[in-house]
Amino acid sequence: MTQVHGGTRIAAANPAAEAAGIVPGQPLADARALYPGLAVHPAAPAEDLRALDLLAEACTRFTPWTAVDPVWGGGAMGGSLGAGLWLDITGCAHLFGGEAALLERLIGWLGGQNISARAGLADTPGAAWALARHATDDSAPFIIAEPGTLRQHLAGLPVAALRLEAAVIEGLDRLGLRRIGDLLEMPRGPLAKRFGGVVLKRLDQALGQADEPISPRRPPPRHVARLAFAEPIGRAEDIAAGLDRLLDRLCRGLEAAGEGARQLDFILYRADGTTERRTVGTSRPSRDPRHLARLFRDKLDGADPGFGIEIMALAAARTNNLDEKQTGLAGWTLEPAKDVNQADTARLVDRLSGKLGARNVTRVRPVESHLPERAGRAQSAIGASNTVSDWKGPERRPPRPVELLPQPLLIDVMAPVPDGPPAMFRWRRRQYQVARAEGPERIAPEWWRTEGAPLSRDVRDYYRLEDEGGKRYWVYREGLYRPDRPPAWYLHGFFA
Amino acid sequence: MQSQAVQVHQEGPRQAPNSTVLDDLKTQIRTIERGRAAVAAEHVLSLGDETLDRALPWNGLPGHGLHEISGDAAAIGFAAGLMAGFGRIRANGTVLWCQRERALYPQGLAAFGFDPDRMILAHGANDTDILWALEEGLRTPGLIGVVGRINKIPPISARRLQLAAEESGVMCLLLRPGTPHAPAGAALTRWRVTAMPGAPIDGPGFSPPSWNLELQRCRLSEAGNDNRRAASATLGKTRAWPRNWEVEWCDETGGLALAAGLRDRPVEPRPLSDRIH
Repeated sequence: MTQVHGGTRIAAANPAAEAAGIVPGQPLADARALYPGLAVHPAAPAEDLRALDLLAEACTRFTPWTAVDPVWGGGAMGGSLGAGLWLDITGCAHLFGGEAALLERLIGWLGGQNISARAGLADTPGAAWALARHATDDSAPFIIAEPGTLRQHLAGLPVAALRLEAAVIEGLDRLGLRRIGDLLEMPRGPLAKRFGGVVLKRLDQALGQADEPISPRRPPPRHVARLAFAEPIGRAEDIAAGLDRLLDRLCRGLEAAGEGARQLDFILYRADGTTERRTVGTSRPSRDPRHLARLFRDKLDGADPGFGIEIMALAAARTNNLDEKQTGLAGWTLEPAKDVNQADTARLVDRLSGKLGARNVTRVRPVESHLPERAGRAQSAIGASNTVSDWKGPERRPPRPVELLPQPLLIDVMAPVPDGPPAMFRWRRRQYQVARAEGPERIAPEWWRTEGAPLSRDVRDYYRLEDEGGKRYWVYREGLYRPDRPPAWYLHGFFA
Repeated sequence: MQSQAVQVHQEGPRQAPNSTVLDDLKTQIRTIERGRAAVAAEHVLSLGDETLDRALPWNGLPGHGLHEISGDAAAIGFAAGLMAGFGRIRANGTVLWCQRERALYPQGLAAFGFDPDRMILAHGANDTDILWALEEGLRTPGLIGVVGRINKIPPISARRLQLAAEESGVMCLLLRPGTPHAPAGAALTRWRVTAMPGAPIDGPGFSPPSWNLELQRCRLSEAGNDNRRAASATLGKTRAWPRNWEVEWCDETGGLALAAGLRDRPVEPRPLSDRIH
């Protein structure tokens, strides 16, 4: 049920309720009158959409190109059209022994998941939509429009099959235009005049005279390898062995195309209809099955085969050109020795990032900033190329510590002169006598930055201190000296 | 060479102990050991001062093994300096630096000639992750070296790191914060670096980083310890092990220099063991 203008209405009904005469769009009170024991649940379109999305992911076992049909035929909008999925099976049908066999498998598999489904297969999305919803019934859950037979198939269908709004359908009905065939015979001018472009647009889309772009959930990968098992498998060794075979095949495909993978998706289709996806990235294109297998090794540890895995697929989601000769980063041509080194290093980065997480394996780049904590930016080492940057800074810049505390620590300081260096400080309950001090180096806040920690709002006066043992510290006093308030001192780093 | 040694040993019981035979044997063993750990000259890093280099059997620090450095920020500076030195020897290459803390500051490392552009920084959640990352790094021939800051290291892991480093020729520096309870036994050398008050200088500013550098252990040279003690005794001097130097970082050479106070002292006689080649 769903709340619409004018009260609570039925959004969708299961077959048992429909048998009792309950139809979508009916007010809840009427439905209750028909069948007092009716069990009702609030409609949850968002959850429906999420479930559909999961289903679309699971359907990638048939084709990598899947999408959720966003036209959600809510009952109140007139007639339950059910939810839909788009599957582009171009080039996939032969894997299943033809289009009919594929659809049979698809419907059968969905039935196994307790999902009653109808399917229409046609040259255009519009026609497939029409066929799936208006040309099928329980005895024939799918229908295929062979190429060239679109008009015949569509002519007999109601105009609602054109994905039109209820008001438009009603208007057509008043003119006696009930079948798509009636529309096909009409001159186009008056139709456009009366209903705007929408009817003609849908008609053209269904007949393939107008394009209808639909975006897949994920861009279909250019290279896919899949492996179906007669019996679901579950042992980790079997999964690993399957992965090896897929990698071999995929890498051969990549080699033929002169490409290398930057991102690989390994998808496990479980017997219960759920899927599991593991992704690895590489810092430079690769088609070395051994290297790629190593990247997956740690990723597969947590893979749960559930009731067994029926199909596994390996897709190169992102690829780059990779020539035998020129394998430099970002198109540089590198000397062979250097290149071997870089390839090894790139592989190392891949393995480290795979296990420790890409954000824990970084290269640091200098940033033009006066604030010490902003002067370096960690960049994920995957994707970071070798650059040459200026780390030393200006010739006369005061030295910087080898360790910088992520969060400066508040310390107690005794300074003989209010705006002079400390003579003694306490940190972690220990007292440090300052033997030597150097400073201050005034670092002003970067007023042009509005975001950031509040600690960066004040001027800081940095001092280098050396204690009696020779250890060197970097401390700062926050803010300008004010007679009414003792200054706050922070320990920010350690010198070697 | 080994078979020769065995032969002599078999003859041993029948003959009276002969000191020259024993000396020959010792020499042979040392040669074998040196042979196993033979390092091409281009893989040995000079620490910047002859006295320091001569204290090591490789006449410098070899880049093919595990070295342990304990200490605080000073140890980080020392490690950065060593890696920078090897970076100059191996013109292209990367340093893998693994630790748990997110406090390493590249600008500060640059002061020791270390190029942060050539560093991959990996943060592990625990010592196990760091050890794994170090080993992966050591199996990557393109690296200059790996640096790992680690609290606890099981002896078997240290051994694995040493073997991996020896095989690939990638240097491994283990940074041990504070005073490690269980030092890595497999390390070729073990150092302790502590800050030391810098020499007084004229005018404002600080002297260069000054450290007390302590060589606590050095493999291969321990075999020569007895010799050395004997030699020292004959010279009427006692030489302590571990060995200590007061050093400061020298920007111009990109290496260490004996601190000013020591520089004027007479050169120490070369230990006997180092003359055997």
